[in-house]
Amino acid sequence: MTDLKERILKQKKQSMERYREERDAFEKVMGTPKINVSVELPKGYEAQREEFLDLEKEESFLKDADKALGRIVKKHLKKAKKQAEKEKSSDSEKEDKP
Amino acid sequence: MLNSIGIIYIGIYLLTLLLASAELTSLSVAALIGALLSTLFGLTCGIFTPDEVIGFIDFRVILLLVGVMITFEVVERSGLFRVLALYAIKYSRGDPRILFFSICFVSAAVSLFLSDVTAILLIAAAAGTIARIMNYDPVPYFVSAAIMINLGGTSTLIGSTSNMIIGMASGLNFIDFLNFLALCEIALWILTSLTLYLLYKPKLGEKKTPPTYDPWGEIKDKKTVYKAGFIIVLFLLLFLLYEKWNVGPEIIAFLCAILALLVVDVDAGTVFWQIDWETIFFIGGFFIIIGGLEKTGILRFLSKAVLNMAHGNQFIAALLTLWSSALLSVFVSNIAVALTYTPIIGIMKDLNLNMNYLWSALVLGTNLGGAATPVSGAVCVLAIGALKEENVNLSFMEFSKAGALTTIVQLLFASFYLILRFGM
Repeated sequence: MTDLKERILKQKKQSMERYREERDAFEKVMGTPKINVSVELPKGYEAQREEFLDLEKEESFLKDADKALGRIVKKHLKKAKKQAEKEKSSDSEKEDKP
Repeated sequence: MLNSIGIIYIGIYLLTLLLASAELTSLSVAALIGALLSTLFGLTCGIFTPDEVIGFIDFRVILLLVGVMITFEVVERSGLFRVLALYAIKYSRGDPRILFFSICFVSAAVSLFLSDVTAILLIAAAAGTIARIMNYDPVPYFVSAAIMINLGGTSTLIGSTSNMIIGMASGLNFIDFLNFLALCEIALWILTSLTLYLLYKPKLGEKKTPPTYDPWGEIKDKKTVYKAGFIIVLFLLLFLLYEKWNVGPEIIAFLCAILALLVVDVDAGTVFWQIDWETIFFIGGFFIIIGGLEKTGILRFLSKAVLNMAHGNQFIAALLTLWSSALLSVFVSNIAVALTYTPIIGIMKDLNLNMNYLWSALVLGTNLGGAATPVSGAVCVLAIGALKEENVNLSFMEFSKAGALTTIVQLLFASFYLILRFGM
């Protein structure tokens, strides 16, 4: 029976992709939102194509990428916040002027 | 009673069921192989003509199914059901008991309209997300959602594919379905969710602070959701009224599908791509197999056998129909069961029996048997697949414990209901 279950599950691969899409949609509303960033193989490293593709599954790489991207995201969000505050204050200054 | 041609046709029928239920090939391919064999034997042995083969397929069922699929694929794409699921979770206020019942009832309600496959993917995604955030065990929510989705829509003509097949064969309309079965379905919702609650009570977890969010948060265009809501209301109204205009439900379903595509802003090509062609081809092929069986006189023989076993008593015939169709639906697709039983029951119409009694028993049987084990229906398989995505491996026995228990409770209640509704 376990074999049968496994075989059926394999055939339902497409449905599982739809499940992941649905889950991401719910996660965006209820949980921590996520964005996807794609990384290309850097120039000069063409010979290491396979190793590059394997990085996607390597835990230490994912940890480092998460840390580095976390710093970059924070930097950009701070910048966006400052920009928004600046625009807000310049708008209110314009409104104050007769 | 059985001649060699009859035995060949039984062989084709069993081969198709074996191929389909053991998933040796896809449902549609299994049915098409059976249909091809049936046609070849029928034509070469002179049992039927090529024109008769086409006549075996009830295209009204196919049209009804496609119309309903298109309409609700459009509605689903609007995000309406996602908003509904998000509200249900939000108003549980972090109480796992309320969350459990919310998920149970929303699952059953959503499956009134959506196909079981679409419904479980949506509800499991919602349940999986909140379970992860609240650190709850997802098993009670996923298994209960699968069982409730299988149950939802038992009392409506469009609630499941097997209902559409039975409805078209019996001539029962949308109102007849509600009249004979709505009360039973409501009672079964309550009974099943309570049974599941008692079973899973210790695993539901503790009350926690829920996440704060806006259920409309990810909806870019609220108008599309309102339009989808309007389509549902219109769909239900038209289905309640179509008898007066002397048109069939398949025409109404197609009208609603066209209206949905016109009113709601979705890409028609993408919607057509998402239609469950697998089921449509399965039904088409299986109609031919059943047509062949009918021509050989085997179904008439089976019909007489059922009546002999029931000693001509409609109450016993109804109970036999209910329990045997449910038991068969545990192991093979309930669409195949509905397609097999409808001509068997249909033959009995010349006898002095209350046909509504037998049709209601068949509707209940084919619907209730679909979630007893993990391989009883696509909804169970997908619930287990979704659990695997959440890194939980649910064993066959663990699922069957809840599935078999609720199926037995449901069938016992359904037997009791049939006696109350139609008498002994």
